[in-house]
Amino acid sequence: MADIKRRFSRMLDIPSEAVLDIPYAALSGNETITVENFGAILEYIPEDIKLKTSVGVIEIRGCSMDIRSMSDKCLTIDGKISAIEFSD
Amino acid sequence: MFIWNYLKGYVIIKAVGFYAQRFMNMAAYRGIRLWNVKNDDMVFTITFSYGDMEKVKKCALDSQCRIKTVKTVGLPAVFKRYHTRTSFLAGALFFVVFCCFMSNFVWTVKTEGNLKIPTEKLIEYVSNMGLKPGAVKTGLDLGKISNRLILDFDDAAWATIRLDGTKAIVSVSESAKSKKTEQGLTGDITASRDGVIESITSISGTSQVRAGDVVQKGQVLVKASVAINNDDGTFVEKPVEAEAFVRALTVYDITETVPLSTTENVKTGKSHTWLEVKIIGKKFDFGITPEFKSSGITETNLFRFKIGDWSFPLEFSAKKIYETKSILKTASKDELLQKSNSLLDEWTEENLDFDSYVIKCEKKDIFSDRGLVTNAVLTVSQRIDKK
Repeated sequence: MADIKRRFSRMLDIPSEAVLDIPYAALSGNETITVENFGAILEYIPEDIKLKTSVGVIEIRGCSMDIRSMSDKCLTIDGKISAIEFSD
Repeated sequence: MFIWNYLKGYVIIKAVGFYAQRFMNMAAYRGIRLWNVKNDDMVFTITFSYGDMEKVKKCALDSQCRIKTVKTVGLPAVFKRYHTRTSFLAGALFFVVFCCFMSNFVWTVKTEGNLKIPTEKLIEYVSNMGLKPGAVKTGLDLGKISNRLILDFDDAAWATIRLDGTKAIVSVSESAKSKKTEQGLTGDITASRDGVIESITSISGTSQVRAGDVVQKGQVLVKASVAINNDDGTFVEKPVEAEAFVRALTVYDITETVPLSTTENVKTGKSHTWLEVKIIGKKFDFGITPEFKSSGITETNLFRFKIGDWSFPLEFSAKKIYETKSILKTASKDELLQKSNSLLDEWTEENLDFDSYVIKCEKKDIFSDRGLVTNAVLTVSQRIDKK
């Protein structure tokens, strides 16, 4: 089903995050990151935030990281971001 | 965003322990927006909307997370805190109604753009036309006032009056040349006093005198025209607006008399205080006694409600009247001289411009049984150019 949706989105040139339930991350410099379509926070300490998503775990590393806002679909993190890592 | 959050109200809590992250996930999943989440040694500071309080409590219960309310901020919290205080709420409501009512009046009148026309003159003019602090905004015909202002002030090329809240702003555009000049009625510069010319700087027009010349009052110093050389060698007089700075040495002969005995009012010790309230230009007196009304010295302590430059049309004046009696006082020689000097200083301040200065003062004091007669001859350097 996911494969059909992906093909469909590519065919119609629709952003895949709008059709598929995959995360969409937007980074402003190295200070703010906004993650949409995230599942849950697995771990939150000021140096490391792990988010559960449909494509696995997104790990955001940095220092003095705060969650500026959090809703069921969108999460915005402020702080000094040094790395973003994807894992299963 | 801060104002919106304040109006909606928000709560800051602390969530402690391992289950705090589970609590946050559950809250987000149940549609609660969380913001300003901070982790300080596994003590999570979380902010959420005031309306979500019950949902948050349920989440905390379900996730077995301990939460503690740190602060409740915003309008709903204020209302909850004060909802039993009916007098306070009535006062707040009265204040709002009072502010709405008072915003119907003009509180201050300001001017802008006027360089030639004095501000006081403009404010006095519009005040006579009805635009003054305390005037009802709806009863003002601003277009009519501005049109009259343009007609009555020669230097005003254009004027407009606008109301900015409770502030009336009289905006004036002044003409570069006066209306008389535009109509071709140029004027020569003449001497305002007799004197000897010190210097003359002509900006436009033709000088008729030079430094060292003796001039009389009314004599033309600068003619309001310039000679233009035509191609055929003839000269044509073209009228211009004469402008010049002419300084001259002038002489003033002043006689001041200081009487030996003067009558002074001295306080007897009796006094009476009363309160005067002025609301939108109308005075109300409280507690005045008629015995001191006609005589005595009155002191006034004025209190006016102000917010910045804006003042309410409401004034309180604490007035105190002192009963006085007249006594005859004889001055000593030194006192007479001191008084005579201060009279001369007053005369100088009143009669000479700020850029005039006294070069020489020859003073003669004549003492008699009736007092002191001082005769002073002042040599003054001053501007004497007058249109």
